[in-house]
Amino acid sequence: MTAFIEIKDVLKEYGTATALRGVSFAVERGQWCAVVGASGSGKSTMLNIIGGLDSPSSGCVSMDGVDLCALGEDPMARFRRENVGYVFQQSHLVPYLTSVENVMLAQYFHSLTDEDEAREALARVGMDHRLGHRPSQLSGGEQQRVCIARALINSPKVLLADEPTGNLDRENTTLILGLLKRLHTEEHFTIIMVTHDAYVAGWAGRVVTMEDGLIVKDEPSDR
Amino acid sequence: MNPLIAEAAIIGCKEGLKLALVWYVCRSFFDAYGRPGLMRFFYFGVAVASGLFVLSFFMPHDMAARDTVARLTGYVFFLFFMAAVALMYNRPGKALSGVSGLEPLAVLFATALYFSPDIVGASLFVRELAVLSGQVAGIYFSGAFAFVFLIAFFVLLLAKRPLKGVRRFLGLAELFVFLALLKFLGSGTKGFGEISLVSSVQQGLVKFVHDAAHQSLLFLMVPDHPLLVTTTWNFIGFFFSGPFTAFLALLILAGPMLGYLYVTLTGDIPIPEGMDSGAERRMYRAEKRAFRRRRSVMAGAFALLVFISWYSVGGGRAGATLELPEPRPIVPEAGVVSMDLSGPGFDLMDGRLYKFSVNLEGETVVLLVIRRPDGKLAVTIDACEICPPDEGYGRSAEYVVCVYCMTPIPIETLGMPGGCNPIPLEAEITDSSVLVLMEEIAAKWRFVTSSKSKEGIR
Repeated sequence: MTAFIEIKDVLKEYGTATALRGVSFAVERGQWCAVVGASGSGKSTMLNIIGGLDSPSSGCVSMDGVDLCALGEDPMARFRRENVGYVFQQSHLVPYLTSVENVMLAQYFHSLTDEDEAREALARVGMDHRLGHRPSQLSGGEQQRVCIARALINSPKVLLADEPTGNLDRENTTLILGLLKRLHTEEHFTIIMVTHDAYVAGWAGRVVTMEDGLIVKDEPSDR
Repeated sequence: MNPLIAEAAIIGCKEGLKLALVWYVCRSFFDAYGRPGLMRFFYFGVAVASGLFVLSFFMPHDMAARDTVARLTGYVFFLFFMAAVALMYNRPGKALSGVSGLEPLAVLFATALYFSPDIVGASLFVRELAVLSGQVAGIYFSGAFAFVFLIAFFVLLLAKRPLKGVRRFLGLAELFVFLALLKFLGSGTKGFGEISLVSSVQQGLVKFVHDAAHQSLLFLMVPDHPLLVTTTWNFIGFFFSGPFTAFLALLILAGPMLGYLYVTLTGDIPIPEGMDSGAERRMYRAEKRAFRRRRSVMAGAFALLVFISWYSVGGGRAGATLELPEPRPIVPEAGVVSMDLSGPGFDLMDGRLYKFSVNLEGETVVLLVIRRPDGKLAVTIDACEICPPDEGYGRSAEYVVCVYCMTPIPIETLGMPGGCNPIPLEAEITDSSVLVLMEEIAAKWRFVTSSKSKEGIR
């Protein structure tokens, strides 16, 4: 049986620079996996390739049985819309839209907007009191919570988080990680999270360490 | 190039294009629904229609024949239109859902029905061109055929593969809308958006209803009630006037399409059970909505075309002013009324309405002369068998209109007796004049004066 997410011998080159050197890696459904490593180790590149934001120079990637390398531009966009939720270090919220409108924007690009559902999604991340606030009126932690609501609104099969707490203090980091933990344990979300912070990585069930474009360690978390 | 041959070529182009387009869309449609074998029956249908082309050589190419073909074209259009409407309101979004033994027959019948009036109509038209030019008909038929094949060949060359995405835009109902749309666009001989094929049917129906209603009212109020003066009749006549019937045509043709658009685009989308996540439900609704939008394109195009066509024939504007010429007095000589064909400031063959007055035993009888679209002169009394004769007819566009009841009479039907048509007169037309016997005038005038309904007026 193939894993939920599987990448095989993935090589990624940017001109003369090589970001990934034949990485193979698999994630089971419902797993929370942290990818750690120094800057330039290739962890974000791998995350982008898994999420279909980038394509490998060679090798193949599959998710839920779908060979992502075989998808054209439009089917790939559709696949991303329906299967992948992203949370980045920067919130990338639209500054002139309110929290609920930012979430509805993700609905709009997926299918149709539904304000009630967007409100519920924000309530799930504890933001029901900040529905009408714009990003500039929210703290960093609150912005990240809106991002998580936005990432989850279209019921993705996997949540990809690239340094989701990189901009946050410890208190807010713990809050966000607690939220991810709840999603993982209660709703069985598959999460792949890139971080350089050992504390953050410790919240995941599995920690994969990358170095210079290769996976050098893959072990369960001791938390 | 002889302009008449060019006209034959244009007819050929139009028919060739229509044939090729229908073939291409039907082929793509049957392919898309996994029934490519049905195309054989399409070809049989075309063969049947082509057989009628041969038969059309034995048809007279007079006005009555052309009128019959025009009406048939209108009825066929209407049949396809009604089929489309019935399918739209009863089987939204479905097409060829069941394998039925009747489908091949239906395809054959529909194809034959669709093309027959066009082929026969084009044949009559081409023959008429030949007659007008005084040349051999074969030249014109060759010209028309050459272009039928040329256009069909080019379209087929460009359309080697079936259209993509046919299922997204066309169900059976939408296919019928497309066929009706194409017929609406390409029927008749005047080209784009000719609405006359509708009015030829509609006018027949309206005139029938009008005559029945008009005669019944007068019968019930014998003699003509003083209340039924011109003003009242004009009010009633409004419902049979050009603008009103144009609105009626608009309502009949565009109404069902707009209704369908409204229902389709605003109707609820029921969510099937088992869709737990909001995203799944939204996606389902979005896909259904997009599907409905695509399936509405044809109905929208049809409604738009009907609007354009309606507006282009003046449907949105007030009725044209009636042209009411003063009668020219004439004196009979030796029991014959003679009207010069032309003279200073007038020419009876110029298509305008002319009136002449003659004294008949102390009464003034007005005669009406006008050239019909077929080039023949219609000579009638300026009155019908129903209405009072005092006001006669005026002219508005391609109609003469009864001033009393405002019934529009198509000019091409002048010379036919009955109903609201002016009473026709036997006339002899020489090189320089129109001759009518006073006996004929007196005999026909009796129809006007002896009408029981007019006792109260006279």
